[in-house]
Amino acid sequence: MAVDQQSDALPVAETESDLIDLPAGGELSDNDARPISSAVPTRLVVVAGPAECGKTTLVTSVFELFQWAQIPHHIFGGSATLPGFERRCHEARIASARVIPETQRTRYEDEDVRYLHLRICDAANVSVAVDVLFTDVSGENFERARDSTDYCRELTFLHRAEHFVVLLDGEKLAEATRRWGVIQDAQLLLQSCLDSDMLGTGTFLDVVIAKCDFLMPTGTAADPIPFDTKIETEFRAMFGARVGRIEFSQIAARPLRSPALPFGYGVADLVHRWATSTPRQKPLQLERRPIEGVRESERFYRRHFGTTE
Amino acid sequence: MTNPKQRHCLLVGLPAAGKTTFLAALWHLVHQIRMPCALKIDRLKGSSRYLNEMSNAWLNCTAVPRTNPGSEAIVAMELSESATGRVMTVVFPDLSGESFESQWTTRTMTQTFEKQLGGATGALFFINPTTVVEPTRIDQVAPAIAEVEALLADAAQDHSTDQHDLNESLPWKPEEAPTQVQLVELLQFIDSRRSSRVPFRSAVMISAWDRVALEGLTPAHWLRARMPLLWQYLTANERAFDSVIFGVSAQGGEYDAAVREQLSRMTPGERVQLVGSAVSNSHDLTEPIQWLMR
Repeated sequence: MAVDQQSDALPVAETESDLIDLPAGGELSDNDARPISSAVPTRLVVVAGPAECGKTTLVTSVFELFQWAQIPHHIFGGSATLPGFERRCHEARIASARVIPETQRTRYEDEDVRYLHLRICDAANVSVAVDVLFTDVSGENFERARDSTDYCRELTFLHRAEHFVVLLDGEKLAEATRRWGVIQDAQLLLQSCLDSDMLGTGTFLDVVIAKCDFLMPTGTAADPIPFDTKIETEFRAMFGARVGRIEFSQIAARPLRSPALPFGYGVADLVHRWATSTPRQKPLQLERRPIEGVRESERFYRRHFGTTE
Repeated sequence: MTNPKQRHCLLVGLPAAGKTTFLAALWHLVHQIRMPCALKIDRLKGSSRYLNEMSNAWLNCTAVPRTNPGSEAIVAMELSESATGRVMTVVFPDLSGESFESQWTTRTMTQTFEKQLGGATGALFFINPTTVVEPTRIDQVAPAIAEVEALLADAAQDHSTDQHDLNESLPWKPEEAPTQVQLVELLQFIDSRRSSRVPFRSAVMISAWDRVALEGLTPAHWLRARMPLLWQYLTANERAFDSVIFGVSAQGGEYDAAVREQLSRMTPGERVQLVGSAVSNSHDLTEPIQWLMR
């Protein structure tokens, strides 16, 4: 545009043809996520569990903690889904005019997976960054996967999961009549995913009690009751050898029942784990292995194609 | 072909962020000779009616009219650098805050802006600290809400008012999103539409600095404390944005009768305050522009 010295009026009315579409910024479909995953290494974190166990609240709490710079050792490097996060955080903000915070239930017209995106950087060295895609899948899909290995195989994103986070609803664990059903449902879901070969040793498993504030004695400042060692032992015995790693955590992403617990209790530790570890990394081998074999053809083969083991 | 002696700088900010007030004060400063400035007007050329009108309002200690979408203009100043004599034409499109807000709300950008972005080497990003919307959660104000709820419950008992409304949500509106989220998105749009890989020079201008100076924070500390998401984004993306943070008071104070009386007795240039680690002259609004042009 030619610039007259001093002032020049811009066209007052911009027609629709003058407008460039920008990314919508909502949750990403597989197609939407492809440009990100093909441009930069991405890490898929699958957050699994039945309806209303706290999956979306966990993911939005990560974003909320970054809004207040409350994740030690890591800083926010960007997001392709800012409106998606904001829409999901809305009902827990004062802007909603609610008095009790809530998280909108995940509901889509189809059963396709959606993702929310965050770039997480090392606070000490910002060039060390990981683009994380969090799944946004309705609990009903995981309930169906628990009940059917065939359906489990339809959730093709599971194959790419580097971290599989299975949530146990602490509110239900606190009720003696519902506790064992919660534990069994989580175990059946894992069993189904493993037996259908959708998860395996290429996945790190996080077994997480969500809403752990329900497991605290009411009105006290005590720490939540430690994860039951019997249950932990059981999960390890059932699944420890079938996944890359198994860890146990307790979180209270939005601890309304216990003022002693801060918002996002336990979440920062999970973020640190997701951002700093992946089952896909192999240790860098810097030392040359001695070339075995006597014949030149054997040595040639090993130099260029590795061992034949 | 780009004129090497012409520098395009953008003025970016949401509505009422202080962009036009800054321009009005700047126009006065580059003309006056009472106070030293790093950049001075080299010569007038063509019409300067728009700038003169803005500057007159500023001199009279009246609010500079806000730029609305119908009054956007491109402003160009031929400036010489006092230390070196180098002459540059600095071009600022004075876009309305609504045009930036609409990038976030409507997810569209005008081709005009994209073209301006392509020719720009940097931008002044304005933030009005008095209008920042924070991402305040319900749990952060729970005790106050509990009090209000108790009062409403009492009122409901007296007047048989339906209490079910307490937990109905107002719908989400993108324009009410936290300010830091909107600004991060603007930066992401700018980064995505640029073809150059040279870091985009970004002078973050915290305007109305007189209103927050009493907090005792430097501009950088203020940004980190009050808009941590934006601070983190700029820190993490130094390769895309070469940024420095200034506090600026272009008005010199809030225009009430007493303040106007006080300001009108000052040399106009002395009303201006510029604060920051990169500042050498606290009354020189041209320093951020000089930094952008390096």
